[in-house]
Amino acid sequence: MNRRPAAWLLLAIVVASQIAGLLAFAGVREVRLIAGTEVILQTAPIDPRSLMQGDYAILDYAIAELPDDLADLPTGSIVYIRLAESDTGVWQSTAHFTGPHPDDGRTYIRGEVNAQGRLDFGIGTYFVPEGTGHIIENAVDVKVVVSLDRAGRAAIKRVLVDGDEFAP
Amino acid sequence: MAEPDFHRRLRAEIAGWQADGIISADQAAAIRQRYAGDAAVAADDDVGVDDAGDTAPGSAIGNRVISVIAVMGVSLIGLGIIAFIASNWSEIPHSARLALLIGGTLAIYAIGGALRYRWQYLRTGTAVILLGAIAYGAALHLIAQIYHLPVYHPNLMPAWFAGVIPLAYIVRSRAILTLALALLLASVGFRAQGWAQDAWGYDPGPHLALAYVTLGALLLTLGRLQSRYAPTRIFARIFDLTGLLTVAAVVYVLGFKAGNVFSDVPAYFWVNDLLTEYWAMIGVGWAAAIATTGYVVWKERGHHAAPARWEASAIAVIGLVTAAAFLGFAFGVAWLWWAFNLVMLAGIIAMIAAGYHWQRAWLINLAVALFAVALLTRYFEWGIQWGLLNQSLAFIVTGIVLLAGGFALEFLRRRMVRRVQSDNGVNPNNGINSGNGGNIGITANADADIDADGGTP
Repeated sequence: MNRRPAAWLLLAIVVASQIAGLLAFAGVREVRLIAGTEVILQTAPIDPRSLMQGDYAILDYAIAELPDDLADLPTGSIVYIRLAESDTGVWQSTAHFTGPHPDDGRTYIRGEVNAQGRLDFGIGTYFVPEGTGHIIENAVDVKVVVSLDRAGRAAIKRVLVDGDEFAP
Repeated sequence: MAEPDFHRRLRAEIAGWQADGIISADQAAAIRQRYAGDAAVAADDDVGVDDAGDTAPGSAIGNRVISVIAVMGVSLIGLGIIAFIASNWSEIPHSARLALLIGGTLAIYAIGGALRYRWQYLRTGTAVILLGAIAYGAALHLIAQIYHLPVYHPNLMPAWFAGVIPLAYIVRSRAILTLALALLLASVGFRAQGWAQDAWGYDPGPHLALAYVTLGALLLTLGRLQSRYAPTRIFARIFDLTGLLTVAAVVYVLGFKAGNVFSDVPAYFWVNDLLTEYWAMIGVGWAAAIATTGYVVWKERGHHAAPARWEASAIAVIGLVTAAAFLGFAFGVAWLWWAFNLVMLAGIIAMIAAGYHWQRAWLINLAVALFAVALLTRYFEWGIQWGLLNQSLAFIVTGIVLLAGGFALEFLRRRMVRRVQSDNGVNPNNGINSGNGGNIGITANADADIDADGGTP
């Protein structure tokens, strides 16, 4: 019987840790969305499904291609891409850096070299309501509005399908 | 803990004495009758969910039924919650869904805690806390979905596992532990995408195999360690079973001749830019397994050393399997598949021998199940590849070896029983099973975590 109050307390501590972890998990990303710099990136999606998280689109970004001089970087290498807005409103890569995050006040996105030799920005997945993935997959033009924090980490704000915000 | 331990041990001992012909069925029944009153309380302790101090009223089978129904109920509710998230229902804003799930998770835990600790509904309360653990994982995935984190994000499953594993020990629930270990196995699979992605058409299977066999060895050693301590003994078998099944699954897969993973691996095995994390985890896993086994052997040096030495031998064999797989992958040893079939067969025989020696029916049942799966698979695979004549030769030779092994085992057992009976002055014709070998000595009653010859399980 003496163990029960302690078990109660331990259970409460573990549950509180779980909830705190969930809130921190969501909070970090929420701050990135609210306080980050907004850019628009060109992408080409495909439409698979996850048993745990439902339908989603895989987003393959135009800026994910590495230039020839960086093509031999090993998997896991971090690359910063300097972005600049084009006439169409889409942001394009203007330079690549492999060192620490350049601190010159310009806009950068942080990517990690994946096993396919392309850059992964952590925004390669976009979850959609069940049965609506084909709308994105069949679209002619898909752009993603992304928020970038100071370290260049990206978070998806919304998706533009043929010029309109995706809201099925 | 002393009384339940005593009754578990007594049941195992009686079954062993009876099987070996030391006592008759009547004598066994008389001994059981002698302790029947106390055993009723002890029996409650031996049910699936889970608290060692559980003395709730009702029969053991009745309590088990309650546990099973409750766990089935929460499994359905848990899957319902996961499906709700997967549907990504757009009618409710993300923030409301998040609040609903986090609030719901808290409420489920509160209800489970109150049921278990305040109102003493031990089994239902534990099942509801299990539901809370599932809801926590669902909330993690919901947040990942809201912020569009990649499905294969390597931290989701480890975070779920890290949140659930302490609950298993606090609530003392084998059901929650089973969920936690399943998440641990899934974590390795998801992290593998970071370790060895399918670049250049490369199959990450070899690296996964090494990771899983290491994890299996570690789980087995942790199970054996926990079996030495009363507070953790109820968790030992889940670790043992998960560890053995994990290792067996790897050995089974590596034994396929079709799609032989050893044939064209070398270039990718070395060239692939594996993260340091992968090799570090393999090294740490084996260091932990060896240290744990060494501690158990050191702790039990002396008169209870035999079980620890058996376990150390099993870990050593798994280590050799890991080394063989590593070398096979590294140097492309294409013929190695058949060695893994021999390892599978030897492992099955060792499990039967260990189960027989320490009176654990579950180990023998597991060995028989593995044998059946391996036999059926190889029958079809080899029959297609070799032709039926060659296959028939291989099966008949192996079968004769096994039959001879069975004969030798029975011969030794009969000789041992006769010696024990003559030492104790028991008439060999007065009991059952004295000489005709009609009973292999394993019964359901013997299925207890107690070492029949006095050692730890």
